[in-house]
Amino acid sequence: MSGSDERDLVERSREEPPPFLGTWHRVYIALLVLLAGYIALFWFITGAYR
Amino acid sequence: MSAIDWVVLAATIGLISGYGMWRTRREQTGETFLRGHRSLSWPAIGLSVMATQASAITFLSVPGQAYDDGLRFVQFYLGLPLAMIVIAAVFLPIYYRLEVYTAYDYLEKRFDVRMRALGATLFLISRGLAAGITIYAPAIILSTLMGWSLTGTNALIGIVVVAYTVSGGTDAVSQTQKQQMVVILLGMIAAGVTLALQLPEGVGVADAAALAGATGRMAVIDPHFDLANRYTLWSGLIGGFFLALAYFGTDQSQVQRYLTGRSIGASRLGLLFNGVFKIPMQLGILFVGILLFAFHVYEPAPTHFNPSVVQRMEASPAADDWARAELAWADANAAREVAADALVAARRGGDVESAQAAFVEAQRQLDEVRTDTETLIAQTLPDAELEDNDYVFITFVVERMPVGLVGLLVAVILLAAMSSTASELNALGTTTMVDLYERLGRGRVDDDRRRMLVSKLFVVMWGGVALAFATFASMLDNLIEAVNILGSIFYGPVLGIFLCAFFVKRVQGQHVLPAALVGQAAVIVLFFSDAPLGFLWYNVFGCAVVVSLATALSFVRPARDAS
Repeated sequence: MSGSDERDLVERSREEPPPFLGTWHRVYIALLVLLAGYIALFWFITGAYR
Repeated sequence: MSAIDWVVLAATIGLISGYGMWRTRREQTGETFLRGHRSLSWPAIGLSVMATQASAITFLSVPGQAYDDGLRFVQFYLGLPLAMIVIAAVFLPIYYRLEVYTAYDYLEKRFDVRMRALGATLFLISRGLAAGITIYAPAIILSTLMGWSLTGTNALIGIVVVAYTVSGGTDAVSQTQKQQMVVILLGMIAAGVTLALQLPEGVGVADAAALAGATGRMAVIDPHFDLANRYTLWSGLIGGFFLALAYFGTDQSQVQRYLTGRSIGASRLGLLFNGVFKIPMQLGILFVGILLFAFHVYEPAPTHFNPSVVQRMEASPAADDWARAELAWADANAAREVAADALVAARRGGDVESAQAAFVEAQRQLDEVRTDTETLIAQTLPDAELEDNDYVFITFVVERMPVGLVGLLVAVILLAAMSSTASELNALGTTTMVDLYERLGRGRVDDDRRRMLVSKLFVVMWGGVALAFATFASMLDNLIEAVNILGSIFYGPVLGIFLCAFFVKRVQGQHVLPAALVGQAAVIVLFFSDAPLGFLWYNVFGCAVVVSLATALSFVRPARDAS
């Protein structure tokens, strides 16, 4: 692996914060909340048309 | 199709393919053919990941699935966001840090070369067969539209997709998937709007949902824990999680997409983008099927959506019985329409409960006629395909969509076929080249031109395998289920291997190899048995067998003693 390849690898692998919510953990939690929201919506639709 | 539709179809596909060729006009090398330039932004990765999964089957089969069975299929995707989080947090940093070409490259770094070969082989078998189904799906459309033979249409589509993949490699596949997804989503929105506009005057989308709801088709969530039921909240959350974890985390056709990101953050956000938008997208496509159901309450559906089955029945010795069945079908449809009118009127002020009960009874009688019709077809044409769900949406597109939109929708389905099949063939070629030919054969090919040529030959070879399997796909009942069942047979053991690699440090290659072989055999035996187990659970079962057996073996024969 050449020097420039190594620099490229380091650059691509470097951990960086997400563009929103500050940390990746917060982004993951937001996605979990969204999933819970989807399930709640589906529950509501199922009940509304029963 | 009209001339305008052909122009729209040719222009849509021509523009997107031309754009892909223009964007990838830089000189190609063996390296970039296999890996791309690794410069994609996160929205491009997200759309590429979604486009790879959303094959033509999604747009042909999913509306038909909802037409027949309602919205509950969406539960299948509930585990997907969970899987995206695990892949983004655990799998992705390891793949990036080790700079792997393929997911199976990692298995050698963690275990040994035998595990790399096994992982790659299981992927090649499952994905090679699945590629056949993804070629077959759009072939249905063109053969129906043009009156061509299905085998010939399969060959034509297969050759076009192979040529497209070979000419552009990883970069062309990734670059054009953004545009393809945009056109695909616009096309599906157009189909939904057209359906809503073609409902009778006075019947709105809410009424359509009420009619579908009366027959249970709006039951999205089934909270009962039932292993035999294919789609429940639990099979979706648990089985769907394992399936999505295996598909997105270990299937090279997906791993290759997000490893082309410009950084680990871009790949991570691309995967999470998929976790956010996949469920609403699938629900939207399923809702097109709900609108189709309501549409056919007022515009009676054909006795069977597959025109070739109808033609064969009309020409068969049972033609008189078939004519009587068609009359019974028309009567049952008319009775259901009357009941539907009453239900819609009751919703505006009246006894909704009684009207709903009458509609449910009319639907039950229609279903009985349908069962009798299927029995007649099975007795008369033992080789005929009884399920016609895959023909429901395309029949509407061809017969009821306005001029211009027919061409756009056919383009949508062909683009979806191109994007997913090209990703699959690209990944199959890369894995065969890197994990088998170079690793187990003669070592890395130094001559770059030769490396690219051999990689392209492998893409062509897998195109041939996929085409051969596509000719058998007509024997499958429902394509969207068939492709997921096929994946579920292989994904569990493969995921078990990767989970051992990531999380069970004491397990080594000598433990996981026999465990994986036993796990794969166990899933195949389970599939061919009559065990009352929904297919999503195969992923959990196969994975659990491999992880538990490999862990047990690591205690019986620890790595230090074994070495």
